[in-house]
Amino acid sequence: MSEALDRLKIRGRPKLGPRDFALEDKLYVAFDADDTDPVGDDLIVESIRFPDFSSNWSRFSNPADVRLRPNGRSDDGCYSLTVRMARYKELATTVHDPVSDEAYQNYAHVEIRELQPGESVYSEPPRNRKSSSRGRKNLRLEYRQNIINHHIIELEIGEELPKTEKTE
Amino acid sequence: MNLLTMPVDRTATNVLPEMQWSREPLHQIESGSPVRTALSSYDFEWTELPMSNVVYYYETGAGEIKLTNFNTWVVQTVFTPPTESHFRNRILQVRLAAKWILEGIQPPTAECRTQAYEIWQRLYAKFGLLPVRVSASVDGGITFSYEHATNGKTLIVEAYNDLEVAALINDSKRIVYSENVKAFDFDCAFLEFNV
Repeated sequence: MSEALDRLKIRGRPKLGPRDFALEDKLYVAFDADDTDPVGDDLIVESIRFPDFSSNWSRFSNPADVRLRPNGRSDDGCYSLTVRMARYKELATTVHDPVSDEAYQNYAHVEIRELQPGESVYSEPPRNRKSSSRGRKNLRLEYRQNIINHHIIELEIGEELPKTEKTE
Repeated sequence: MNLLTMPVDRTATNVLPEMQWSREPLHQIESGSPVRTALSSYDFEWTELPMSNVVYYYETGAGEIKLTNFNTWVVQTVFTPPTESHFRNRILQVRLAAKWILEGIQPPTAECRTQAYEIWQRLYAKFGLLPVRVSASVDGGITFSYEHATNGKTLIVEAYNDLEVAALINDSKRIVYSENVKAFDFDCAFLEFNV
């Protein structure tokens, strides 16, 4: 656990910009049983949050590190999407957003935030920006389905880690 | 009065396997005794007679049914659960997971549920489609998932709390169609789903 927490600590590292993401960098997202089909155990489109959902940047974290987040559980699963997927049809983009709370630091934290029509994927939309989705519902649904189609399961729910990767 | 019969191993029609009605005997009836029951939630009662492979079902509130007198029976061959009320109940019962509510996602509103039921009716009545999954969406609304029986395509229909509707068709991990549905017109979506 301490190794993982050390890995996530900010340690004076700077916040990075949108151009620092490589398109094939992975973004790790936690999931649990509420996000899966009770019949097939697959992730379901209605459980994909859009916009403004949190992830961890693969460049600075391991999949199991999602279990350390506040409200995270030791048996959470983890799937990944790529930065390219996060920028699908330029509906959203990745924003490096290190968490520097006293009790929990996470340098790898990335928020995927919705873009307004015409905004560049290299801009940084503010957190919790109010935006109308009227007339864009099908695009938002496409965005979520694209994640369902191309995500990779990095860690199953309840999956044990090798001892060297234990987070707790 | 009506009395319906159903073989014990028969599955109800138009209902997904996991949604089959449970069938619990209320009591054993002694031969020759009148059948009397209390009302169930569907105003119907199940009972099981000491006979093999047959379940008897009847309306309450009528006169006496004599098991020994077949003239008092009206027998039908198959019991078909009311599909509409089944899916209406599912739409009414879908709930958002607690973690999403804590994150500020709005659960499906009453208006959204009403519209979702109308959408379900439209797709069922016009195209004979029944969803394999009905659930609350974290985008604020209700999601129906349909799977084509032969071509492997998936149709996703979402009814949102702002009463907009979207449809998407997925084929082998590829999005082949999406639209914002106006006036419950699913003709184009169904065409794409069916080809």
